[in-house]
Amino acid sequence: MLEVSDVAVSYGNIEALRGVELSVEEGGITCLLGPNGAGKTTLMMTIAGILRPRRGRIRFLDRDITGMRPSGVVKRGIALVPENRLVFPAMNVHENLIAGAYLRLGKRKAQVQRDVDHVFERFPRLQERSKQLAGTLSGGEQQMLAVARALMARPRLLMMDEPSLGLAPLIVEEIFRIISDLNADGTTIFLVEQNAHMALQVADHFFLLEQGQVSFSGKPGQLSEHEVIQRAYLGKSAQHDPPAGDRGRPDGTTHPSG
Amino acid sequence: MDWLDFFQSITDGLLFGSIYALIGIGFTLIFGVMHKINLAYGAASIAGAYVSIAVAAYVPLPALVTFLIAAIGSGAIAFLIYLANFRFIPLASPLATLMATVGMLILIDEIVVHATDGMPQPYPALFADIYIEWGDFGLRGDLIFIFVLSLIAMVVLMFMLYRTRLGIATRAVAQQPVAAQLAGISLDRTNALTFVITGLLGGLAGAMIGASVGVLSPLLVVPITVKGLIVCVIGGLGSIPGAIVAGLAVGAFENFFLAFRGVTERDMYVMLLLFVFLVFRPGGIFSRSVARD
Repeated sequence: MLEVSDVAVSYGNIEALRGVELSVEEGGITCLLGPNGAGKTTLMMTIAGILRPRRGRIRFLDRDITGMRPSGVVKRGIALVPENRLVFPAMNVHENLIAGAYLRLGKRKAQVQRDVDHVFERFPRLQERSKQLAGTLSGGEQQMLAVARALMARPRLLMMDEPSLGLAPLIVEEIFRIISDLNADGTTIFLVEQNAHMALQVADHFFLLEQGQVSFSGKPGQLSEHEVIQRAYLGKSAQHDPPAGDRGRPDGTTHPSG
Repeated sequence: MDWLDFFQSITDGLLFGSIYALIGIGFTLIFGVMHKINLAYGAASIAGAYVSIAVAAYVPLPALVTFLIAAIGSGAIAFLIYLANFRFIPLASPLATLMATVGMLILIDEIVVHATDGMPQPYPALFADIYIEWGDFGLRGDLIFIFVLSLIAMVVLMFMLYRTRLGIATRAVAQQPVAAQLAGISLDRTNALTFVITGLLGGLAGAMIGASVGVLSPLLVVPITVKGLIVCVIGGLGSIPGAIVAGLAVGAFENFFLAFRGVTERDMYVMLLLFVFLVFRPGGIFSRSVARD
């Protein structure tokens, strides 16, 4: 469904992604794991069209979307739930959802309203808080709102960047239950996670991103959870002795959060 | 000075202050959406009024249509300012766009001076012959007209911001630009349209200034710019209700000191008001008072 080939992205002189290769199968839950600064968020932002790759190709449903504007990417059927949720704080919950359907506003009002009702069925707590400003919601509610807002774009592929970040364990479980439900209802999921334990429970396939490159790809169970977690949190160098210097710093703090 | 004079000067000031409110809204909208100050905004507003008299010189127009042409002219100039000073200039550098708009302010000013040989141009007033009296207290028709027109412009703006697709885009970009883009909202388009909307408001304000003063002069540009910025600070940068209240308040305040201390001292007190706010309420009237730590 989504194929990323040889994608490289730089911030000035700093290379965040160095030829990433990965693909997301339709209908499944694919997870991207990796330590801080590996380039996970950069990859998400590049697929979504916010960042432009220096080289490489991104294809979605057999069409080239490399370097496309974010609105074009949304139109093709990809929605991203960004890291830290990024709700519109001074809009109420209902307005946040309407904004999520921006590209359909005006032309398809009735359809958008039906989608709002549909989203409220899935997230009853959001309906209760429909008139509340998004900035006053709890972290878990904001995460649900961010997911709901992305759903308002009617995505075929829903990308989520660390949906469990900073949430209490019970809320994290709820978020992962929602992810499974959405997938069961036919939405393909591409998930970035730090919480490798939770991610490996729901994912059909996972990729390990380390220092801007995919270092492992496979199904959960192909690598022991212990090793995945070691590498997802600390980077490859924590597991093996670095061969003569080119593996980055042993503490895994390669770049600021990426 | 007795109570009647006091009320008269405050009332006239409040009515005229609606123009300051419009100018303040223009600065504050751009700041809200782009977190940038467009210093050429006051110049574009006055230039819009000049456009309308230039058009009126060829085709005789009713005064109200002249006002509309001023709004459209200023909207077009605001769009050009966006293209020249924001669209292609790196936004990451806070000084680059600010200096570009200073240049634009001077450029617009120079063009106006050149085109008019520096001579003030008469501007049509509306309802100037109407005066409503209650004993010694009275309301000037032209000021009432200015107030009502400003009110209509504000209502239309609020409707646009809270009830239309463009309004959703504007508020989304102001609050969370990355998430706005992820929803398919184009930053460029939204920013450009916000500039045009502020230009329309500014042109209306420029025309009303011309109408109430009776003439247009390039000398109006700097005071309007400064007052607009003061209104923004007092109202809180980015707050539209703040700009409205602050605009009216600045109008009333300056008119009170005009009556109380005379025209030469008036603006000194307005500046003192600015400093008082910067010290005690740097976030504007609607923020809580802040201790400096």
